[in-house]
Amino acid sequence: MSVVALAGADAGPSHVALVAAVGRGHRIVSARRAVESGLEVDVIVASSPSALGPLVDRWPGCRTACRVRDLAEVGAAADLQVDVPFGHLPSLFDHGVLPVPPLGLDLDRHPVVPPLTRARLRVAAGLPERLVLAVDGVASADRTTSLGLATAAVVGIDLVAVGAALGTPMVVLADAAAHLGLRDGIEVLVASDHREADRLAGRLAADVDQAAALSRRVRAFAEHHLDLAVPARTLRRRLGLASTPSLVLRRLEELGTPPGSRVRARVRDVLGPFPLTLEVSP
Amino acid sequence: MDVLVCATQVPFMSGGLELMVDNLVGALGAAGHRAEAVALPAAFDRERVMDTALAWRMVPLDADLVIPVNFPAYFARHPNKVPWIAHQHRAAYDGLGQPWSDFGTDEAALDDHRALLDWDIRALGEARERFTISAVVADRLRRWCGLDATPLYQPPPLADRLRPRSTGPGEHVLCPTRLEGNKRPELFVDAVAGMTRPVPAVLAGRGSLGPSLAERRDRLGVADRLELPGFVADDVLVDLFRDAIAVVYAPFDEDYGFVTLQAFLAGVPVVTAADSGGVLEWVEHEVTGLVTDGTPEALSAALDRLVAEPELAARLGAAGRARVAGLSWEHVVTTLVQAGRP
Repeated sequence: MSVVALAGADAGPSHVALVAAVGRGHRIVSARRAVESGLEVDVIVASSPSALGPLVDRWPGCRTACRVRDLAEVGAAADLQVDVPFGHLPSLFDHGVLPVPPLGLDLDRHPVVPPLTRARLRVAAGLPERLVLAVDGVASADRTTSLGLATAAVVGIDLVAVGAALGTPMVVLADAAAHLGLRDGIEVLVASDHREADRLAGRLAADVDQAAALSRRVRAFAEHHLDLAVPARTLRRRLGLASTPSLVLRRLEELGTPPGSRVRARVRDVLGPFPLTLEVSP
Repeated sequence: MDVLVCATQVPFMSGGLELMVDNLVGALGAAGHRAEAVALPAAFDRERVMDTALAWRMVPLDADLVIPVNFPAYFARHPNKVPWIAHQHRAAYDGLGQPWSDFGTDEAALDDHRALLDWDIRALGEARERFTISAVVADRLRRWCGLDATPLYQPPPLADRLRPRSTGPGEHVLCPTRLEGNKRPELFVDAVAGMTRPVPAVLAGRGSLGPSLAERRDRLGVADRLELPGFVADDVLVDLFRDAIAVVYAPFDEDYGFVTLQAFLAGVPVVTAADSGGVLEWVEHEVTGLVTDGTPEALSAALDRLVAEPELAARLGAAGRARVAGLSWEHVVTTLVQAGRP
């Protein structure tokens, strides 16, 4: 049994999402809960060396990954014999640190919704043909659904990453654009205030070509800069949680095919009779 | 340069796309390149539509340049991919809501739709440069996938054989088309029946609607002047174009439409409908043809007008011929190869 322990009281939503992606298909518990329950743990993904330190002796032989934020933490991780240190500072990459974005999402859980599919979803839901929304606050199921339905949306800073993942044609204020490094007119439209944001969103909803271009580019931005699925796959392999995907699975991955999609099911059906065609043992 | 032209083919069906592939391979060869067509079979029902896309992803394509021409051949994986797109999977785009589209609004269909569009955007996004067979196809790509493409027009089949008649007015009205729903051949039958200046008419082509069209013709009482010869050989088709007063071509949102260009090369005006898509890139109302609202009554009136005014038909036909005079395969090949040069 593989159990992945999430360690670190300071673990933010991005770290939680990373652990969820790394531990997909395995049981995931917090380190505290594992200790209290007396569980045997095979893998720990820690948010810092200080969070990991007390746990190493508890589960000797356990494989470990740990987020590091500076050279001192790289040294601390080495002292703890961490298998995979990871972080986002480029200056650390030469020290064996695996690149993982700081504000990431598991894009496998946020498949893009292109504008034409949004239109179909609105038809199915009995919503207006053109739907312009203002979506603010922290991520929730309702807000994510709204971002996946909107023709165009004014999006607050806490939701802009989710909007990017879903390919939402977005208008944001300057602080939200700067938060992720999004560019005006390329991935999003940037407004100077809320009134202008509402006006731009209305115009964007009427401009089908621009909405489609922004949707495509902001999703591509999310895949290049925010996606936790890619580093999570690397972490899974290096932590021994997954075997190496075969060529056909790599092709599905490069096309961004979500885990539960119909085409993956058909690939399983077609290749099922052939052993070792889907994954190659490490 | 070694060039592979990649196409997807539905077994036992053949049409404009297959001609386009043959002509492109031939033109590449004539320009000194080594060129071959590569085709994979496909099924376009929603259940299986992505299978061939994935298959293209896995096929080794050892060539300097790969030119995919349709969905899902543009899923071909090659560092030097220059698609020249005849069409995407129309059932998921402009065909939504049409009776022949199986992309409904149930949950499974919506999920398949999302996945197909996402894959399309990725596969086409990785191309070095994108071309389409018409502005209509380029517009769809920009509108629904957020991707730019350049229209690149080709001459139609039989271009080297189609010539205007030397003298006199035409003898019949003509509609050469596949007899399938999206081509709307029934409009021609109804229009012929509604003409107040009856002349002989020919609906040439084959397809699943053949029997019902024959029954419709008989029911409307025009069996004596509307001929349904089915498939006609090239020689016959050239003669039919040459001797036509007008050609009716009014499909629903056509991608390109060789018929229009063939009529123009024969110096014959085209009567079409305002929703016929790529046909309207060529047929300009009262310049190269007549654009109607697509009702049988309007088509009848347009045909009557061209029968009554042979000088108008001649002027529109001559303008049409001038409009297509610059089309050449040499230009198509030069453009595609240039885009794919390392």
